Amino acid sequence: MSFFSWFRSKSDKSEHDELELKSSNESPESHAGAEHPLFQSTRVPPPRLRETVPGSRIKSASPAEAGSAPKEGFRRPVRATVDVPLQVLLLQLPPEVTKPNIDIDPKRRVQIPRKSLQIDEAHQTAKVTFATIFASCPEIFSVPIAPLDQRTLEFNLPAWERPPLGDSGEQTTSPTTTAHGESTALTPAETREPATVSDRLPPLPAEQLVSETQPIPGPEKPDKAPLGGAARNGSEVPKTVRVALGPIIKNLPPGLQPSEPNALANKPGATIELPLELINSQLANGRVTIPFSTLLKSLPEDIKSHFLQADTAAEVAIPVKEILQDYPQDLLRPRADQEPEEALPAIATPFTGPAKEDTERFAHVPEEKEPEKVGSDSHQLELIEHPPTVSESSQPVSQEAPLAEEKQETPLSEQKPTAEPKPARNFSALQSIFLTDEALDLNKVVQKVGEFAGINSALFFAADGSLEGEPEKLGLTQSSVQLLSSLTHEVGQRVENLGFGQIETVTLGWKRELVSVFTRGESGFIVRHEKRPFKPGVREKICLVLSHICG
Amino acid sequence: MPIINYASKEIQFKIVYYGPALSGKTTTIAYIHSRLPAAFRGDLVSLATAADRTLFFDFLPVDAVILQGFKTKFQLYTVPGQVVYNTTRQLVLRSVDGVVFVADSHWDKIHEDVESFRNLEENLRKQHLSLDEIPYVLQYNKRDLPDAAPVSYLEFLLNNRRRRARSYEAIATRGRSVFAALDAVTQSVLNKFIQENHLLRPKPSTESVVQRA
Repeated sequence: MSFFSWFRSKSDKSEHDELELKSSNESPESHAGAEHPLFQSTRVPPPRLRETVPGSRIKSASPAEAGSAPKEGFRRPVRATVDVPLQVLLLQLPPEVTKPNIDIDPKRRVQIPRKSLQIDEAHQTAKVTFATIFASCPEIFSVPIAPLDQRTLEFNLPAWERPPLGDSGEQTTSPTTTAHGESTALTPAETREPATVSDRLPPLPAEQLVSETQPIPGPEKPDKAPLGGAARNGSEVPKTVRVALGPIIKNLPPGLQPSEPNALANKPGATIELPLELINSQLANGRVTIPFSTLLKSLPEDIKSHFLQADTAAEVAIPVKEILQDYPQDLLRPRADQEPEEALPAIATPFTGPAKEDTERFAHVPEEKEPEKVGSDSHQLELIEHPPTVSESSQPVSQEAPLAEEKQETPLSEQKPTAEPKPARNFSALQSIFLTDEALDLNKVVQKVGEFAGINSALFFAADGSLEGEPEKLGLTQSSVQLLSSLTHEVGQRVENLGFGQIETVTLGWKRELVSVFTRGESGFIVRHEKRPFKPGVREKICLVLSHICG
Repeated sequence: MPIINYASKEIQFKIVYYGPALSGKTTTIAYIHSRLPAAFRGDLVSLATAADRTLFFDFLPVDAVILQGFKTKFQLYTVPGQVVYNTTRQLVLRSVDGVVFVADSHWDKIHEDVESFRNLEENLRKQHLSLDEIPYVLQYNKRDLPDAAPVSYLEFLLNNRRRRARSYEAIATRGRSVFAALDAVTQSVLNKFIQENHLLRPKPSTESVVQRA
């Protein structure tokens, strides 16, 4: 008897709890009304379960609905990824981005992160960007897809990913939701595109889904795209890309360097072939790395013996610059569906005038060339002997052309055999570096270089040995400056001969300070700074100032 | 969203220079400051760290055209490019009206350009904004470098959205295309504002620009 009484009391409690659950969204007024005997039949009790996730409370629109609300039952766990057969995606992707010959089983499922999908539960379809598919399955693409690529394709959700028909009503009223219940606002472009499937589809097996998928509006594609068949557009896409070995060896970390790095790096014609698919998947990130083991496999036998087989899992950077030398340029073309720039009506702003002036100025100035190498620099003498006047230096930056004319006027017979820096009379271009409106001459430039963060003093030396600045502050005499200059020159040449490129700074340390020498030909800056590396940007600024002074 | 001050009859637009560290954002804004007549611009405020990097932002107010009796002002901001200052970037991006993305053309910096552009998209998304709505231009800076990446590759990386943006090959230290990029983005911002508010367009003459309220 005691058992039955206990059982009955429990049954009464559970009934009470269920009633409470049904009235979870009832207002206090309705509760008050429900106290009336007339309303007792439709009384909806408060929820039994606590709301653990904000907004996850089950909604019941009306007492009648609440009465017929589905009972708490088993809910499928939401997985982080959605499995989609490869075949479904391949049929939707335009042929110009997919590989013609794909060896992968078309029934293989590709796992796409659920949060990257825009799932339309009403139509049981999903939208995904090309970039997301590329990230999940780069093997099927013939061209790299940039992460910013916004092209999307829409496909019917596979049967196993569709929510049961009974479930869809209780989730949310929004037609476009992610699986997490977040509302994903459609972009205007997306809202213009009507859904390809107009009505809810019953769950279908995966094989039937393939024939149902609708093409997305956009690039045309053949009716039946061959999977792993012949080339679709007739042009053969190379499977490998040839990369020069020298720059790769130079970029190798010290532990992976071969026995004779310089000899191998400078070996003429030494290249390796890397699989294009390995490159494609990373090229859109601006950086390409491969496992060291892959590099070893690609190396010719005679070079491979120079490498140690240690740490084959280490990642090796492949310079993108070298990859693009041999990379098919067709693959870097802009996307086909890109909308061109909008032609807007012109409105004059305070920036229109300077923009036109700058455009005209640069239209007259010849193209900037690569900085000339050591020894080929030109005239610095006049710079020291005839410092520019304020009126000259305050001229706009645009007036660079007369320099070339002056140079042409000098007869060839009078020119010195060694090229020397031509005078740079206009320093107004340096105002932006020093963040000043002040009219500049060489003396002020040297002074301002000495005021850079972390720099104690600066000195400029010219090819003829003349100095600008305060050598006393640096504790240097003219002969010691000459010594430093020739030392830097010698070091620079030797380093360059080793194949390390042009050296721009030599730093010597003594006592508690450092002295760095920047040279450009026979001219340069000597700066004294605190015993620590240059602060960010300072070295670059000094190089920029020097290159401007030396032309 | 521009700030409209009915009392002082001013409309303020916010243009943000965004990009990776050391790409030339501060240099760009400093060049703009040096070229604009003092009558049109305010002081350049630059909050830098001891290491000569932008700490918070650079700020330059500029007076512009007059729209239906309201004088417009452009506030030019830069963000700190260092990865660690993301919260500051989010703050500076608040209520942004236009963006100039300053990319470094050096080969070694291209990955940082891509990362910074993604960061821009992410930070805008957090403010329920998108580059689809906000006018922006791309300024490929440091084109004078001997080791500059080709523009076609930069376009592939950064200008591959559905709506193609205007892009400029720039040299901020010399001022090449700096004003062209700024002019393009301000025109887009003004056109958008005029379209959205059904305003009359100002006459495309220099006088309307020079005229100050």
